[in-house]
Amino acid sequence: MSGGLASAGRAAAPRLREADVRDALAGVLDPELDQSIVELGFVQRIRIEAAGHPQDAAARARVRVELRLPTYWCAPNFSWMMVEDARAALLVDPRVADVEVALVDHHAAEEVSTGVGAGRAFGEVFGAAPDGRLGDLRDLFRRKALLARQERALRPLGLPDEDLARLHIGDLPDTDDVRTYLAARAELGLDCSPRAPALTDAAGRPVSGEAAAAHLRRARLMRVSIEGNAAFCRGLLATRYGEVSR
Amino acid sequence: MYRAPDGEQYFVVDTHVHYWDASPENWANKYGEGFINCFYDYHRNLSPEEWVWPIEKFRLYSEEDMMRDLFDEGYVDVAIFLPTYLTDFYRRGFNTTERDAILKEKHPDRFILNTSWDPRDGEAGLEKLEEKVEKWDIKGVKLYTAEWRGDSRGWKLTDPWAERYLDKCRELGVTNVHVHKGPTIWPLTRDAFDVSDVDDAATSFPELTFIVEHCGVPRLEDFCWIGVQEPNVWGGLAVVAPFIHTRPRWFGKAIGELLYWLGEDRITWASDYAIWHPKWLVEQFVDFQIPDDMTDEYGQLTPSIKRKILGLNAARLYDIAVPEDLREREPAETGPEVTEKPAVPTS
Repeated sequence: MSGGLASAGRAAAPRLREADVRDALAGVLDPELDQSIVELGFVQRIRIEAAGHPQDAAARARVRVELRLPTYWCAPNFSWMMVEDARAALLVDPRVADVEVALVDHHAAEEVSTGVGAGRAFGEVFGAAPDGRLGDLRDLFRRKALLARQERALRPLGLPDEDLARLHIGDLPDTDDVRTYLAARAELGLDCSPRAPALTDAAGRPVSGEAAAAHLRRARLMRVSIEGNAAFCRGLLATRYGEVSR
Repeated sequence: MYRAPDGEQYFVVDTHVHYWDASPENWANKYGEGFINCFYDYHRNLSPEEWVWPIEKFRLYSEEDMMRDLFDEGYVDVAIFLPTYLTDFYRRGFNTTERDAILKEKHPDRFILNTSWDPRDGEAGLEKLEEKVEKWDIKGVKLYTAEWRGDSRGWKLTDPWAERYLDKCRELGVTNVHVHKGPTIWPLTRDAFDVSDVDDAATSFPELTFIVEHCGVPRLEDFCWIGVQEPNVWGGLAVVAPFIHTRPRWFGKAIGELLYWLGEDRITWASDYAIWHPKWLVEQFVDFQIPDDMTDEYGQLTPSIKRKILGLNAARLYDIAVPEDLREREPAETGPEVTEKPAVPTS
């Protein structure tokens, strides 16, 4: 905890607290595991300092977040995305003046932390071709996650595959899994209106009754793959830091 | 050979073993330590507690340890060396063909020795490959496509030089190409685990068999999709197998998916020794059943399927002589089992 925060303020907006930072970070996902970095236990430390004079009620905050990962070798590209997303998630808060997201205990900790902090592109730091940005990779993994979420949302409805192909978004029950699925659709800009088909491919195109079984088989495989990766990563993180795996 | 409590017998081929040296004096830099620590976390995380070694032993185990663990205690009939050089991290290399050859030469019937190549070694590497193949009568290679070298951020099986090496393999009768698509340390804008180049190579070289190690995990989905289209693409269970202990339900799903997409004839079993010990892995695998609430989706793991996965499939791939009483009996038992199954813990 920082001493500056404890000082009295008559600010109109409440001072930034650790819980606010944690809430903002909860929306950042590990792109491969499709789970929140907070839930995964990747947020190791949060430090908040006043950017201006502690007595200044309008002083904005300087936030430092440390992120830890399941292994020393976690791929730098995916690590980069999480650090970048964490930074962006915090910078939208008007109370935040400055953010430092530090990747720790990682073979490319320095390059990723300072590179993202300086607003550079992945390729500028690592010299990787072709365009040096990670947008395509990010999109690919959002769409993989979409399929896994879709299967998780639709399978429990207990309908034959071809009947699932006839459902519309408006027919879906209000469950956690359905909401999670719709959130991914919205994020990708896919039609979320009640009349939109519920069973679509990763590009948002409707799946026919005939193709539904094969489509759902692939979506299930996607879900099983992500589940296994998440289980392994959670276990490795717990082992690495001497904690009990959840 | 493993004889289960119910009397069923299994011929065991461990298709992925190491004889590494990760002792501190062999570390070339901090990555040498980081690499073995990561392996050690794999080992500690997925092994039953009583099978966890101290880090010192894990860094450097002896020839005696390996022979006892695999063949006296671990039920393994034949083990296959897959070298991982990592000469940038370890002065003398991590697990080289040369080091594995020490054991191969002492125990020729127990080990199959594979080697490795890197297309960026060009013409000289081709000659070296030919020498090694001749010297040790090699039938397989282990490839690591994500390795960074100089300005190169890894390579693909479809690169022109890689095709020349694959062609050389074909010419030399090195028909088993083990492809590692596991975790990489190299920064890439694309997905380093991407298995799509295996698809193209498998089409171009139908005479070769491409065994994707770890079944492509963490890209199980991409791997299965390729496997369903390419009959010469197989899956190796190293890293997948030990989930059986801590995550039996996920293991059931994974093996169920593999059986659905690839079928029972293209899956090979492995311990990835010394990351995991084959004794508990073999025992638990033979004892394993798809959990009851998942059998509608995934079917059953019959003794016949287990026999193929544990040894008979790999024996076919490497022309390993299987004692007559351990071969697959005709007709294969494919129907559902009628015996009561032991309870599988849910976690």
